[in-house]
Amino acid sequence: MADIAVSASRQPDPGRAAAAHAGGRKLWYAGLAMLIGLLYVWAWRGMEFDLGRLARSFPHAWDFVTRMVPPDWSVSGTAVTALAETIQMALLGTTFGALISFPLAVMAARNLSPRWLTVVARGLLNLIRTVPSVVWGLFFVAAVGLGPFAGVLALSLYTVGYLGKFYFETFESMDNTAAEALRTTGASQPQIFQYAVLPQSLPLLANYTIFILEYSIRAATILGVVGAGGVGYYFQVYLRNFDYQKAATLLVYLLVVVIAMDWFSGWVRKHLTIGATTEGRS
Amino acid sequence: MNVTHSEPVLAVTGLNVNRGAYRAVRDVSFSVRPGEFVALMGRSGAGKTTVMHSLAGLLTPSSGNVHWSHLCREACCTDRPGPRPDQRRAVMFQHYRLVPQLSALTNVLCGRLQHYSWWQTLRGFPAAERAEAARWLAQVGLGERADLPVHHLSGGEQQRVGVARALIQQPTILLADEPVASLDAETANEVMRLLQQLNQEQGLTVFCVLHDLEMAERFVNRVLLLDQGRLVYDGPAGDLQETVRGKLQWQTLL
Repeated sequence: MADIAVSASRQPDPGRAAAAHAGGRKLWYAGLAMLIGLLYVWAWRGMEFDLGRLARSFPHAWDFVTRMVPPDWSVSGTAVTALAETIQMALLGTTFGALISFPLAVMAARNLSPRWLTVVARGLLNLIRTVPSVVWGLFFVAAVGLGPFAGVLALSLYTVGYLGKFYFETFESMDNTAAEALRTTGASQPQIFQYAVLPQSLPLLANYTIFILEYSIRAATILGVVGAGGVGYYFQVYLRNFDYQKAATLLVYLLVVVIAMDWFSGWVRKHLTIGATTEGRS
Repeated sequence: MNVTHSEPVLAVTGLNVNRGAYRAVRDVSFSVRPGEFVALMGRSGAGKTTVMHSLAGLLTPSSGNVHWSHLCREACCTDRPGPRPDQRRAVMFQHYRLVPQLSALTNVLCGRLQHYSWWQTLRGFPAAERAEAARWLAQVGLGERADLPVHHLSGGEQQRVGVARALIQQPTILLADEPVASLDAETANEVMRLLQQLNQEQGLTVFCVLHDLEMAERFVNRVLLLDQGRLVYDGPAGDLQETVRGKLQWQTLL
């Protein structure tokens, strides 16, 4: 009943193919190194790097710095109000941005959406990301008028460009094995997303969102320069009027906010438990 | 052995799976009848998991046929990779493949997703389902740990969650890829006893990958042995050692 048919011959040794493969890879790395080298040569030539010019610039730079001290604390009230507005803009902009990014990222992720949809969604994200935040600011100031509302809209779109990319890359990098397991239970694609991809992605999504919130505060500062609300407006006014001491006060308050935000995001990220990955592929 | 003359629940004919130039599975044919408890054995790299994934629909064979019985014939002939709701085939995996951030209970509930639309499960599972999942967790000895995220559980506990997730699907056939490989001897015996009990009392067909011959002798009634992707033995576990020893070094096969 029991049947035996053991083969004596082994599989042809794959060692030779592997050696050829390693050789090809070496060549590839050499080519890559050369390409990166050329890239730096190109960048260096474009910069018109001039040590003499750098040396001659020191007095001017020093003059700029000395004119900032001591900070003029009389504008503290203005600084705090304007910074509060900047934080509000960043918070709302990031929130709206995240809400828009999520569905876009699902559409852009190759493991979740059909090919044509990923191409469309990625194209859209690339388009949004191409436009600098200041340009979005100018666009919305023109559209809805001066003030923080334009700033929030600009930040929302600017955030979508980056968060959308971060989100879909997170979805795509998730361990596929749990999703495969759910597929064998007969779960549908949206269910697999809800029960396998999303729970595994959430800590990273939150991580990126907080990072972008932190970043948005700085971006919101720039937006004020084009009249889209926040502390940037005052920066521009003070610098134009050569009120370097008042500008310095703004910088000090901004520094406090940036440090506080850094501390806060670090604290939140530390408390986001990222589940231990349970396996490699079998 | 295998005296039942009922139609096979699963018939594999001329199965070949190539991975690049490497032939992982070579011309494997066998069939499984309802109520059998079959172990697929062999060394690492012999092709066990590849065969298993072909059966589970996670791999498309290079050639050959995986044919399921009337229970799920229609479902398996569609081009959809996953099984249909009416196909009661459950799969357990070598590395559990649970979702680490979800609770043990939710992981078990995932076995019931096929019975609900996405819109229904978006709002959570009904209380009756949750109770059923809790009952299965209790059966595998994890009643107390139902609400813990599974990445807080030990390997053995995670595999038992995997068992519960498979069983809540009320399968007629269970495919289990090394269900006890990561468990200590005692827990492994427990899990195998549970499968044996389901096999004997409820007629559950079990097709599993095992490493341990002693385990196979104690629990299963048929062994398939793979060597370099070929099926080299098909028969009772008890005869395996004796039959194979005559032909070649036993150690090279397991």
